[in-house]
Amino acid sequence: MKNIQVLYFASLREQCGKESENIQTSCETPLALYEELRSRYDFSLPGGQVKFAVDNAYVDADSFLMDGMELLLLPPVAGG
Amino acid sequence: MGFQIQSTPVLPQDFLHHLEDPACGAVVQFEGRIRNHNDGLNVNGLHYEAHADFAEAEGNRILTEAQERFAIGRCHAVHRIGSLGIGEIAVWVGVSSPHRQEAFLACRWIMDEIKQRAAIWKKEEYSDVDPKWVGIADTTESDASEARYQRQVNLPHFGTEGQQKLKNAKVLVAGCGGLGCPALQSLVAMGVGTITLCDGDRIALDNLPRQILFGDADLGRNKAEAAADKLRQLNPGLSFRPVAEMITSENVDALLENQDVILDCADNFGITYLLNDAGLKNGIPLIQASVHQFEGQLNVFLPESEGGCYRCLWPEMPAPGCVQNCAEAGILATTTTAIGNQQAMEAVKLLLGWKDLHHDCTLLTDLRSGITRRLTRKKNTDCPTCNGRSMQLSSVKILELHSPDLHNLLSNIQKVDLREEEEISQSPPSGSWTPAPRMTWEALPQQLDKSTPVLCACSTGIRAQAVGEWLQAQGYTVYIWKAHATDVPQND
Repeated sequence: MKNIQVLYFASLREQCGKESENIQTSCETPLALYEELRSRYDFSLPGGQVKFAVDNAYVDADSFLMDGMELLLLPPVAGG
Repeated sequence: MGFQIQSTPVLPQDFLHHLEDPACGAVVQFEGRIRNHNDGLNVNGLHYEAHADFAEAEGNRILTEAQERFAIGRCHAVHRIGSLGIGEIAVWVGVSSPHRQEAFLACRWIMDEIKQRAAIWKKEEYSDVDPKWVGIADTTESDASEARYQRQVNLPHFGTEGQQKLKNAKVLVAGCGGLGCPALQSLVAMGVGTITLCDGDRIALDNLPRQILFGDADLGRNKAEAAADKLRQLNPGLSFRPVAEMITSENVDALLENQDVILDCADNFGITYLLNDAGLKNGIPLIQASVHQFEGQLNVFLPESEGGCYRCLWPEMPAPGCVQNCAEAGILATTTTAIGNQQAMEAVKLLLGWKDLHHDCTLLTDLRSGITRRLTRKKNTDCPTCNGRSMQLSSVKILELHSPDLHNLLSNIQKVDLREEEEISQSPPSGSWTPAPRMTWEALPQQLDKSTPVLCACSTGIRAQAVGEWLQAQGYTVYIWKAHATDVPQND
């Protein structure tokens, strides 16, 4: 199991009601972790429409999750 | 009513009868008095001279124009000439109107015009330096310009060259709402020379708490036109081109012509994709931003850049039910003004050629926590726009009661009502419609036929636009109704 610090932004933050949390997971990739969280929180966005970032850079949805990572989950935002 | 020049002391009570009008419930008077200092010098007194005939003729023109511009009853103004001591009245303006708002606005406008236009000069007598003659318009244009921008010219790497670059710049601001208002306000205050501002929407009451260029008197006006009027007052020396239309695939290329930079301040994905694709095609940088509650996302997209474009980041337009707009999620002026000003800051860096432009990254700002993150991004090698394949979307078309060909179009169209079940049952539309509450939006493509146009309607046009843009991106021909669904005439 890995410890991942997950940070939620914009509509994801609103839908799960928290800014961040520590998740214990066996998921290998950000996308797999998102799908797990999606079923938990009923997120409306499909995984293909969420961006992931680690260490101040976007990362691919199928990159490798490492123990202790801080993972940002970013939805697209339209308001103006 | 009239404008008079006189050499005797100005006594306001002598003129009040000019303002009497039983239809007027508001009287506003302004007195301009001699003060004891100007520009750091002690002033002992002033001497005014006028070309009386010219001054009175011009003054009367100003008063006539005021009556045409504002809904006022009567107005009168007086200017003193000769030698005046500290505290004496040099100029008096009075306006009466049915309601106070117009009297305040007109009084201020008349005073400003007298200072700019009337043929009156003044000699200031100082305590310790020689007297000097000045026009009553505060300073000459170039002096004014130099003094006006001095504080920003003093900044490192700015200088008069930087100011000249801003003056020569041409900026397109797409959207005059929450982001557009503060971005425009700053660009105009800083002296950006030529600004094209576009918005097809009208000002609504619930826009006012964050769309800071507008007030109650602007309700119902087009946003681009009302913003241009306000901005002209803030900095009359600049050139404004208001476009009272939504940006579409038909007008985007013409709007982008000769622009140095685009600010995407719009509130929908359709316009963002359109500006991204058109900006890249025309080689114009795009400063894109959007907001959600207390958060903002900002990207600077440069043509030919390693960081890619908006479509690299978000290859597909999200389904409209998945992402909320400001109306649904809620929004605060502090968020929109901060992010709109971030866009203006990036525009300044770009126009002045500063190296610390935030390109090739996303700036994430959270106004509540105060944390800003900078996420680097990379070009997506599969991106159609970056690979030169034309992705430019054709836009949704707007349908209104007075649209030409309305009845013809309605005779062969799939009508979709995007309101919730409860709204539909309270006020059902006439004719045959497909009811499509939010829960069912994502399944709409399976229900609709691509070979027949689609009309999207809701209660205001906001949901219709969001869903319409998304359907259009998937190859449907979409019309959106910019009013209530029940206003669509029955045609079947």
